Amino acid sequence: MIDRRQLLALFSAALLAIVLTIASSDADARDSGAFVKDLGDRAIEMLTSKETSKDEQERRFRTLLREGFAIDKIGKFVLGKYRRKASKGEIEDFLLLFEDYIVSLYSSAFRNFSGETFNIKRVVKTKRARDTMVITQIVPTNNGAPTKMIFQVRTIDKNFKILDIRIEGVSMIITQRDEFTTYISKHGGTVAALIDALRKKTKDLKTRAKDDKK
Amino acid sequence: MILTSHSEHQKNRFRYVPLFAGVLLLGGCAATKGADDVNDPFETVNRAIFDFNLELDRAILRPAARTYADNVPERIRRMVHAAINFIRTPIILANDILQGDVDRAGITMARTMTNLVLGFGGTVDAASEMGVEFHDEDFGQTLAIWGAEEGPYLVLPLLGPSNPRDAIGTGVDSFGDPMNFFAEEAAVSLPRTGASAVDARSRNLDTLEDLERTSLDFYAAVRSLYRQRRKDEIKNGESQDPVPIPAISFEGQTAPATHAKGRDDSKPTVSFEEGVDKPRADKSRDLVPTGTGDGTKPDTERAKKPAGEKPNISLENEQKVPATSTGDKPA
Repeated sequence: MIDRRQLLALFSAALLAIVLTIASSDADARDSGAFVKDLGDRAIEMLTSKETSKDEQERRFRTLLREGFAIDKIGKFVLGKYRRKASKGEIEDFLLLFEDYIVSLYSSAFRNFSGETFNIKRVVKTKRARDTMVITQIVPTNNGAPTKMIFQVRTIDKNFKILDIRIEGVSMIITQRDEFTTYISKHGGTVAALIDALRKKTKDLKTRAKDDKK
Repeated sequence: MILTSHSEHQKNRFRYVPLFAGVLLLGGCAATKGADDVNDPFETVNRAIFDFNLELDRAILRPAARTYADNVPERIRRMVHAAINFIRTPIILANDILQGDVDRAGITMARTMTNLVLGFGGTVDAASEMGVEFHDEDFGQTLAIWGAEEGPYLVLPLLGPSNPRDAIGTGVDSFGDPMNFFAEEAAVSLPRTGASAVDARSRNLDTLEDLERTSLDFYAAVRSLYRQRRKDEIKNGESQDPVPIPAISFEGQTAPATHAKGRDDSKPTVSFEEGVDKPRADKSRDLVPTGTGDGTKPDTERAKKPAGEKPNISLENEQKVPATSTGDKPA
């Protein structure tokens, strides 16, 4: 029979274990919030200047994108069911192109920044142990209604990577997947068709951006 | 709708009962959907109506909204927006109540009183400034709370993206709006509709233009946006479920440096499919995408918790662990 002291020791050990587990997972959750905050601050610092040249802007954006986002994983996800039908070479082509597409879409978005505040509201754990949801709010300078932005952050190899941004309930990754898969299904069901279209689109966006600059 | 006591309207309302039943049945049939399945059996017709709406938008609504946004001072536009929201109060309150959401009904009442008294008859959203934010509700959302599935995607002429559930919701809201009883003449209701349309359109001019310019398939992008927005609205913007993005077995092996080199040599040899075929016990769940990240029955989730009752079914996606806050640090 276990005596009371042993029981007490056992009990406190169990309690300690529970406290430690909670503490460590809390630290994880807090960190993903800090990670998003840091990335956001740096994006504002590096990308909002209207003086920066277009190329330099894109270069900086690409650096932040690769550092903060699991861009390969995102790229594979947005192919939906067609990923399985694509050859390895096609997927590699697509991933390179997809990154270019994202860069040309969003690298100049920060130029419209006009002092909005970026608040981390809270971090929510999910049933997927490695995913946390970082809930943030963008408050416009004119005291208008704030925009709710949720970042889905995954721990990959001890690094945080953003998988998705959800703005007012609209997930970027799902919208992109729905659009791309529809495009593929309407164009012969091959990823090759999407690659062609994406190449054209990216080129088009770049030319337009250059025209805008002139 | 429940605010009126006019017996004629009461009688008329019963004509809609078979319609409700119809939509609930329809919902039941359309419940099975895969992750990439778009549930758009009328896509050809929908695309045609979408193009028609787009032409109309380019010709009339977009220029009107652009003129409005460019020429009317922001202060006035905010007042117009506040007034439009204020006029919607009876509809919002009725749907709050029909959804059994006592808290939100209370918020709607408090906001109404505040804005009536302190907000110059509803033209200033004083309640929002005090931190009691506006929320919208409609009968389409109420039907969802009651368990109706959205059904196939529809594009309605003039009204745009919808589905059977939301189309009926729109009809019921418009039919039951006491403001429409008070002002049945077109002289009053048309300007209201027009103002609402211009106000709404002026608030997303850039967003939609960007989307149209950057997307490969604008129709598909709008369809996806509409569905996601509706799901979020039904959940009152409270969903924090992650998108089920598969964990790929080789992750971590792609060093950042491979990007720069053009991903030539160190590409992982393990393919994604192998991950699917041989899911490890701990990852198997990650590999099965369940719809659009909201679980299998997203729309009915809140239906299971009417006011004051604990949900009797715990959905696995509902596990919101109160996590640590990093505080509301300003940037």
